[in-house]
Amino acid sequence: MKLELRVVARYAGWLTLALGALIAVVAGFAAVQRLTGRTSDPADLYALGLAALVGAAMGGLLVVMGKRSEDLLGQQEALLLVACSWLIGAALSAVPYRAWAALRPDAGDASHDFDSVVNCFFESMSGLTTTGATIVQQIGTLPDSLLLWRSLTHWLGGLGIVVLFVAVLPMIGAGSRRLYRIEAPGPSPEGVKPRIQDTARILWFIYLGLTVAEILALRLCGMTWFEATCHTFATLATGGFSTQDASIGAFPSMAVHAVIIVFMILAGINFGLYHQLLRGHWRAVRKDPELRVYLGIILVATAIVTTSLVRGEGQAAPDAVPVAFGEHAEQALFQVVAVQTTTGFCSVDFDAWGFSAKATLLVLMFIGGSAGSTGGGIKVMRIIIGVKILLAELEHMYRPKVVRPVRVGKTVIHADLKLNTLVYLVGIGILFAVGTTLLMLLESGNDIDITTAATASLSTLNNIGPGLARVGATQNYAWFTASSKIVMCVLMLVGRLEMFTVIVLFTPRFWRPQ
Amino acid sequence: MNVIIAGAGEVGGHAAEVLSADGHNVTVIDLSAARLRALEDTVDLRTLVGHCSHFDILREAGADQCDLMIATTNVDEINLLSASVAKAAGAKKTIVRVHHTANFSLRRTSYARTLGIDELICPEHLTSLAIARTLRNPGSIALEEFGRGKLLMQRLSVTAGGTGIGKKLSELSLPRGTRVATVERNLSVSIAVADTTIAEGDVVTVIGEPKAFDAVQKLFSKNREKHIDIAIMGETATAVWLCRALKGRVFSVRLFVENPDRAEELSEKLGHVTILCGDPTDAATFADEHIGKADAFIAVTPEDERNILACAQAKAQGVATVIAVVQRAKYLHLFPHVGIDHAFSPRADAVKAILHLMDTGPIRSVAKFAEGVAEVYEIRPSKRARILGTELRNLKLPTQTIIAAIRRDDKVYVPGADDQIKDGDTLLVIGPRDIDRDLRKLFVTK
Repeated sequence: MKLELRVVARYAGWLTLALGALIAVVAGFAAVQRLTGRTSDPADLYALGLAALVGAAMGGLLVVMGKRSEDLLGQQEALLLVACSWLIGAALSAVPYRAWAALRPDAGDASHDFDSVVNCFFESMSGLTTTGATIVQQIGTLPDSLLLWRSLTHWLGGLGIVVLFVAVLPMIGAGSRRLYRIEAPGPSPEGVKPRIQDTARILWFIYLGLTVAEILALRLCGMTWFEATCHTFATLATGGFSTQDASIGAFPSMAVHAVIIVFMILAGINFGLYHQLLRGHWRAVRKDPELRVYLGIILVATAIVTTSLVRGEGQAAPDAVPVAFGEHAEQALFQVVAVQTTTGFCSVDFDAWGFSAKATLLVLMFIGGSAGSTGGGIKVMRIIIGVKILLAELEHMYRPKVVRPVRVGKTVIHADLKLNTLVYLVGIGILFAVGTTLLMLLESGNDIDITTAATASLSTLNNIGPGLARVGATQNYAWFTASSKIVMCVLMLVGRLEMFTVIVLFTPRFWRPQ
Repeated sequence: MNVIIAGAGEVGGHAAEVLSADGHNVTVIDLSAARLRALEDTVDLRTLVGHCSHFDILREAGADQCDLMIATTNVDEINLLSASVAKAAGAKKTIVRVHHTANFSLRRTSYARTLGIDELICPEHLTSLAIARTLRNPGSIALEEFGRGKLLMQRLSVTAGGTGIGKKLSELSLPRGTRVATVERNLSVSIAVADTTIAEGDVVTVIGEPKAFDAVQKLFSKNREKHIDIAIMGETATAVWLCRALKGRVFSVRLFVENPDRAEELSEKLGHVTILCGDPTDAATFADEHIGKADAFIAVTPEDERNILACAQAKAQGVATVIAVVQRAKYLHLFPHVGIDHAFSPRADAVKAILHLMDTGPIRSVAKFAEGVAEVYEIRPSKRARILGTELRNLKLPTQTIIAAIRRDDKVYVPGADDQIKDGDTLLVIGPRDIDRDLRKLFVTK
C-alpha cells in the first residue's frame, strides 16, 4: 500500500484556493476602509491582496499537482490531508501579518511583533486553533482589517476548516465522512443526517445563526458593528482574540458581559443538540447527560470562585474600590465560563485572585467544552466516561465477577470508546508534561517559573489562551523564544485535532507501511 | 373444534397432547417427519410435513375449516407470518407464540393487529410474571392471563402506623389507576365503597398497576415491604422477563450468567440488575456472593436437571425460598424431597393460556379469595348487551359487586365512575361467589 499524495495535494489545493478567496474578501474590507477615508495607510490592503495572490498561486499549484489523482480518499490520505490543511491554513493565514509588517510606513524605524515569521505563524495558528494566545503586545497598532482577519481565522477554525469545506465543496465525495471524523473526533453521536455533507451544512447553518444573533445582540449593547463582529467570531469559536489589549475588560458594560457569557456557554454545548432542538426534541436536550454535567461544572466553579472573591482572597490592586457581591459573582461567572469553554476572554486580571479561585480555573482548563462543540480541552464527555470507568474499576476490585456496563445517560460505552478515551486522557497528560518540560528547558535563559511553563503548556494544548503568572490575563506570549513558540504551535494543533491526527504523522510506519 | 398447530416442539407438542385429549381434531404441521412420527405414535392426531407459512400446506391442513390455528415454531417471524396466512386462508382464530420482547411488547404498535392475528402468547413472560407474583406476595391473586403483567391484585393487612387508618376510602389518596376492591373484617368480606372506613386489623384487597404498590403499601402499614434479595441463575428469555418483572425498590436482583458475551449483552439490557459472570453452583462464587443469605434463589437455565440440582444445593446452604423452572414433568415427584419450594413450567403455562383463550364462554371464574367467600370473574359482554355505553355509575350491578378492571385493545386499566363499557371489552368483576346467573342476566342477555 502506497500513500497517494496526489489526491491529498488536490484537495489541499482546493482548500488553499478557498482560503485565499476569503483573504481577498477581507482585502475588500480593507479597500472599503480606505475608500471611505477611515484609514490612509494602504499597507494592510496590499498585504491582504498579496496574501490572496499567494493563496491562489499555492492552491493552483497544488491542484495542478494533484490533477491526475484518483478520487478515492483512503484513511491515511484523509489523516494527512487534515493535518496538512491546518498547517497550510496556518501558514497562509500568517502571510497578511508578515507582509503588513514589511509594508507598514514605519517599517524601518520601529520594530513590531510581526517582524518575526515565527511570531506571525504563532498568531495565525493560535487563531485557527481557536486558542487566542497572542504575541501582539499592543493590539492598537494593528489596522482594523488585520484585526478582522485575526478574528475570522477563529471563526473558520471553530467548527473546523475541513468540515467547512466538506460542507461547501461538492467534489469531496465518499471520503468526506472520514474527513469529518478525523477533524471532529470527539465521542459525540455524529449521525445527524445520513449524508455527511448535510450534517456539516446543518452545523454551519447553526453556527451562522448563532453568529448573526450575537452580532446583533452586541451591537444593541453598544459595541460598534466592527467590534461586535470581531468579538462574535472570537466568542462562538471559543477563540479569545479581542480588538483591545484589555480584552473584554475594555468594555465595562454589564450587558456586553452578559451577552458574551451567554454565547460562550452556547458555543461550549454540543452542536448536535441544537439540531435536536430545531427538530423539536426538547426532551432529548433536557435529558442530555453531558449538557447537565457541563452546566453543573459551571455552577459549582462559579460558586467556589465567587466565595473566594467575596472573602477577599488574593492581592488586591492598590487602587481597588470595594465592589458589590453581584459584581464579584459576575466576574467569577465570566471568568469560569471563559476558561471552561476555552474561549480565554478576560474581564478582570484573574491572576491577582486568591489560590482557591486560581486552582478552580486550573481544573477547568483541563475539562474544556462539550464534545461536538467549538470548545477545546479534554471535553466534558471524556471526563464523564473517565470517571465512570474509574468507578467501575473500583467495583471490580472487590467483586471481580460483576458485569456492569459503563453508561452515560442511556448509552452504553463500549470497549473501543473506553480505550480511546483512556488513551486520550493519558496522551494529554504526557503531552502536557512534555510541553511543560520543553518550555522550562527552552526558556531557562528567560527565568521562567513552573506555573508559567505549566499553564502555558496547558493553555495552548487545550486551546484556551491565557494561563497564570507570566502568561496571565494581562500578559502575552511575545516574550517566549522562537523555539518555545514552535513547541506551543505544535501543542495548539495537537490539541485542536484531538491528538491522534497529528501524532500519527510522527510514526515512521505511517510513511513506510509494510 | 378443528385445531391446526404449527410446530411440534415443546409447546406445540404439549398443546397437541392436551387438546387432543380434550376431544378436539388436531392437525400438526412440522418440517421434521421424525418428530411428527414420534408425536403420532403417542397422540391421536393428524400430521403434515412442510412449511407452515405456505398457503398450500395450510389449506391442505384444513385452514378454511379450522376454528383455531396455533403457531408455535421457534422462529417468531415464521409464527407471525403463518398465523397471518392461516387467517387469510379462513382460520377463525389464530394464536401466536412469540419469544422476542420486540414482537410482544405493545408500546408502539401491536404486531397482532397489524397482521390480523388474534392473540400473542409468550410462555416465558407468563412464567416470569407468576414467579414475580410468588416472590412479591404469596397471598396475591393470579391475574397473569388477564392483566399480562400490567395488573396486580394483592391482599394487604392493615397494621399500626399506616397513614390511611381511620380514614374513609374517599379521603384516601390512592395512586392513580389503583383501587381498593374489598375489605375483610371479622371474617366477613365486603366490597369497598366510598364511605368505608379503614381500621387496624382489616385485610384489604387492592387492584392496580404493579409499580403503584409501593405507595399503596404506605397507606396501610408502617413497615415498608421487606427488602427481598434475589439470586437468579440462567440466561434464558425467562430470566430476562423475570428481571424485568422484578423492577422495584423492594427487590435487589443478582443475575448469574455463565457466557461472558451474553453477560455483557444482558448487562446492557437490564440496567437495574447486577449481572455476574459465573456459575452460582460453584462453591467459591456461592461463598463470595453470600448466596446462602439470599431470600430467594431461582434457577431458570434451559436444563431441567441443572435447575433442580442448583436449587437443591441452594436450599441446603440456607436460602429461604428456592424456585426452579422445569420444562418436563418427569421430576415433579422429586421436588418435596430436595426442598424445592415452587416449580414453574413455561410449557404448561403456555397450554394453560391457550386453553384460556379457547374458552369462548362469556363468564368465567378466575380466582377465589378470602376463604372462597369472594370470587373474581372474567366477563366478555355480548355484542347486544344493553349495558354497552352505560356509564359505570348508572350500572345496576348485583349487590357487593364491582368492576375492578377493563381490558380494551391490549390496554388494561382500573375504571372510574365515568367510564363506559364498550363492545369488545373484557371485564374483571369482583363479587360474592355463585352470582354467575345475575351477571349473565346483566352482561349477556339482550
